[in-house]
Amino acid sequence: MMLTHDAEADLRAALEWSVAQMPTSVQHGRSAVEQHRPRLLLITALSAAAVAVLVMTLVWGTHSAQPSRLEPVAPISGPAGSTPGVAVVPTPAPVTNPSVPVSGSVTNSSVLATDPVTTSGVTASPDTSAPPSSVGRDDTVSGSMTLDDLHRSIATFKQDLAASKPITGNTNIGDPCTDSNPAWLSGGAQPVLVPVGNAVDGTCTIVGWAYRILPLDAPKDPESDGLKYRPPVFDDDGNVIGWSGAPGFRG
Amino acid sequence: MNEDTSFEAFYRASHDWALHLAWLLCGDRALSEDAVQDAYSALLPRFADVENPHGYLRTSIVNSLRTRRRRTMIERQRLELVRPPSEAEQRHSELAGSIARLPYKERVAIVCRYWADLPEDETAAMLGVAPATVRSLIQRAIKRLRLEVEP
Repeated sequence: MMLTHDAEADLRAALEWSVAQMPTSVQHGRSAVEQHRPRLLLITALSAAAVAVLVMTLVWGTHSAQPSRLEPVAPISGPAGSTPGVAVVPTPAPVTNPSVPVSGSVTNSSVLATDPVTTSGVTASPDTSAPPSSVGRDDTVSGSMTLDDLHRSIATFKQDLAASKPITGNTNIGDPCTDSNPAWLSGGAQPVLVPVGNAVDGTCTIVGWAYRILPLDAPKDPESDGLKYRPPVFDDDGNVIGWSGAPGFRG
Repeated sequence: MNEDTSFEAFYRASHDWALHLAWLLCGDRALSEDAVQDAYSALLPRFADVENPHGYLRTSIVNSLRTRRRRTMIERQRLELVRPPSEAEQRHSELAGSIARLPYKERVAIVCRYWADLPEDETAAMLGVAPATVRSLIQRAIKRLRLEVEP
């Protein structure tokens, strides 16, 4: 489409056309970027490698241009049993942090439902009992629920998500709740559901769920009988950078 | 009959519009939903006190996407390397693609003016600039678009 003398009309038409191209939902209308993610990652890796080669070439050139001031050194004597002249490389300390992929397969998204469902016997942390109050993505909400209720809630969530409509009928919460059978996701990811809503006087009114998709190797919380994963810690761009409470990580 | 002023009613009335705004600013459905979610989450506890919830929502989305957009733009540029646009896409999306590549403030100004039909002073307040600057951004954007899409 050209930009004619009537630029305003052209721009309005182009913007409306662009809106019409928006996928109807995240999982049913993956963006072109998502569809081509592996090839884009390859390009990113090649770009990074090219930059690294360039930097090394520059550094090497700078160093090789300098006259060498190194003197020949005597062979190094190692510990008993080692071969003289061979450096002894210390054994690296074992890594206590879990391996956490932070790019590529990690994507995130969220939805918000609007039909409030009041749940009793639920507390929020930090304390939001004094109105005006709310529970947001970074807050925690605790309560009790059965496994069946959890799965039923997540199933409702997924159906509503697939239908791209506001989510209703979630009558239970957990933080973060996880689906143990995420057949609806591809790419090796697990959803984590985080409640978004209001908490007043010790009761919690859930207005919806937000979800983020986590790598499969997210560490499980040993105290949850394998039902929950440790809460993720996100950086400013929404990438998972660690797991709250994971060994060696202060989240 | 009284007008429903609840958050739920506001959400229902504004959600699609907000999602389309985010989509026009970043071109990524998941990122758009995230930004809209963040905006509603920020608005929810203040909803009763905020005088202009639409303005609050708009500004939250624009500011949220300002910081997240860089990676998306790089991916879009690389996408053209691995997936050249089809003939149909080329015919219809050249201008939309050019708008998507505009500097962020210029794109916000174009979207707010020609899609959202916002007055200049509201766009200016959202971007933290003077109304005259918004006019200048729009002129500069159109000049840039002409250079890009015209032979």
